[in-house]
Amino acid sequence: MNPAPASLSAMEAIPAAAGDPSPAPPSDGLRIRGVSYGYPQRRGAVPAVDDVSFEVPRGGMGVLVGPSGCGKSTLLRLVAGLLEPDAGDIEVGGVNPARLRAERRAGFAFQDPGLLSWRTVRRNIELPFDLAGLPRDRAWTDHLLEITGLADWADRRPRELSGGMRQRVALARALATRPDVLLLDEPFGALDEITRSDLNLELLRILTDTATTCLLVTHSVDEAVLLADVVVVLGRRPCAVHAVHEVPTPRAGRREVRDTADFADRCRAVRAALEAGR
Amino acid sequence: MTMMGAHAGDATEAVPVPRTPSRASGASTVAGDGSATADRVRRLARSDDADRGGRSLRPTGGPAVVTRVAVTTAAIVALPVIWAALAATGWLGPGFVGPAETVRTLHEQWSMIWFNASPTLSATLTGVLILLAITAVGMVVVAVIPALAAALGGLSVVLGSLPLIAVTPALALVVTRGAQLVTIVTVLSGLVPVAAMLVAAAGAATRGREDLGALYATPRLRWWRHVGFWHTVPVLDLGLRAMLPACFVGAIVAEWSGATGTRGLGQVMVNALFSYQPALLWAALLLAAGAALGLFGLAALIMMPLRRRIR
Ligand SMILES: Nc1ncnc2c1ncn2[C@@H]1O[C@H](COP(=O)(O)OP(=O)(O)OP(=O)(O)O)[C@@H](O)[C@H]1O
Ligand SMILES: [Mg+2]
Repeated sequence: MNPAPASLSAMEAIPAAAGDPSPAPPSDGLRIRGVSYGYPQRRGAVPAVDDVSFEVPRGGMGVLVGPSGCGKSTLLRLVAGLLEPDAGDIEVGGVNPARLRAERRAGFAFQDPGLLSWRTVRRNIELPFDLAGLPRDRAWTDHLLEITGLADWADRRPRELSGGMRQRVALARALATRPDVLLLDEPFGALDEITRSDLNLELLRILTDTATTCLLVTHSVDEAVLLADVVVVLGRRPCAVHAVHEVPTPRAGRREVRDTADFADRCRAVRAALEAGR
Repeated sequence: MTMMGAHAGDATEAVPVPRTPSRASGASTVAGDGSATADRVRRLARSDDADRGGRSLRPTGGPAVVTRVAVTTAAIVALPVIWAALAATGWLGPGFVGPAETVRTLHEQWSMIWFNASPTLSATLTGVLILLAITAVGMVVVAVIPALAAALGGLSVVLGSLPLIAVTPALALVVTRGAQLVTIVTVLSGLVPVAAMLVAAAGAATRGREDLGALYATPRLRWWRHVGFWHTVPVLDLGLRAMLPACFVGAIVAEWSGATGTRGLGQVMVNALFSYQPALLWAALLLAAGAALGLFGLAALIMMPLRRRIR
């Protein structure tokens, strides 16, 4: 499955369409239109997101890159419905974030894994079932444990895990309820190169098989280009979209493409956009 | 796992990994089946081992149990030694009775002292049970209605500022003097740590709720059951340790200030003071200190399984 439009050339840089006011048909993927947000403070708001617009097709992978503190995590929170935008609108799978949240259709791996020390790895992954009041799906949990390489650690406690392992638990936890939309905030930051790229490809597989739309934050340009159907390059805080790069490589060929000149070119282009947006 | 099987082949081809023996305990259990999945897991387990930098699994931080016990014992032993040394100098006069004479008096007058101490202890334990019930109900209530925590904070300040010595005679005007009045004052003196505990618990219980709890639209009570309660365990632990001895002191102060006209450890102290029997006073004090320490230990013991669980 290749959710990105096949007609695009190897990579197209599309200038950011800032807050297009014209009405659009409902999107079953992720659509963000003219979204702004400022954290309310006693003396005015701290602007974090400024008039951001982009789209990720259903089952597609959008990757956010941008300088530290620019507002990437804030944007994920807005999509999850944990924050409400001051302006603009967000549509995920045909509904607004509040509805998405009420229907428990989003999975979120937070930047800080926040695992519960009194629960084993397995029970941490199953936490969303308990929180949502749903019956636990043991077979699916087993599968998640396996694909994240944690099967042999299922009965251990978080304190016995490394930082990278904790991140993998958080990723598995985000996938527990088979969400329609997956939000991942630097999910692989603490992983070594090989594990990271293995998990990257595994993640793509899961998303493809389950037609899950994903929005991921990373600081690695290589990871962004490897994973993304759409790379959204954000500028300094308050973040605005600096450039949107579509990556039309079919998912099945992602592993092979990493060592090609084409891949290197794409990375270079994203890096250049990042530099320019600083 | 059909999902894995469909793609596993290319995974191993693309990234060949030398098959060095792994140190990870988990890795050995998946070795040998040669499938791509097992290979991936083996690789991940190996990288975990690298992540861990060969550290042992035992959590570090804080001295070993042996050291802790040794330090605690040394502290407990040091106190009577200092006490004995101070008494031996005679600087503080004949009213400052040394540990040897105190223990002798405690032994000689044990039946009389215990006859008086038992109602004090039973009032304390009754008060503790009442306070535990208040804590249990209060914790659930503030978890569901967090706004109440602020009111509790105010209440704890007001209660904390009430001098028990003054409260007891006032209460004696409305409640018959005796065990019931002692228990009431005991509960009052334990309410301060309980209220403080509930305020802290309300804060701890909601930690992380704005993220995961909000994401899964988790009702407050359910959040508390699965997450919030466990976050409050350290607060509960400290609160109980503070509350139990406070109750005991409260019971003695109540008796001292006239809550009971018949028996009580506080009563013994007052009598010993006014009939000038310093050795008896010190013996009662020693028993009170021992009982307070015992209650502290009891609180720590009760909380041990929970403390272990959240470590
Ligand atoms: N709760 C908050 N209250 C006030 N300001 C906040 C809050 N959370 C974040 N901010 C501010 O909003 C800005 C964006 O924060 P955000 O966490 O979204 O950045 P980020 O792009 O995810 O950074 P990083 O890459 O370092 O994780 C920052 O300047 C931060 O200080
Ligand atoms: Mg962030």
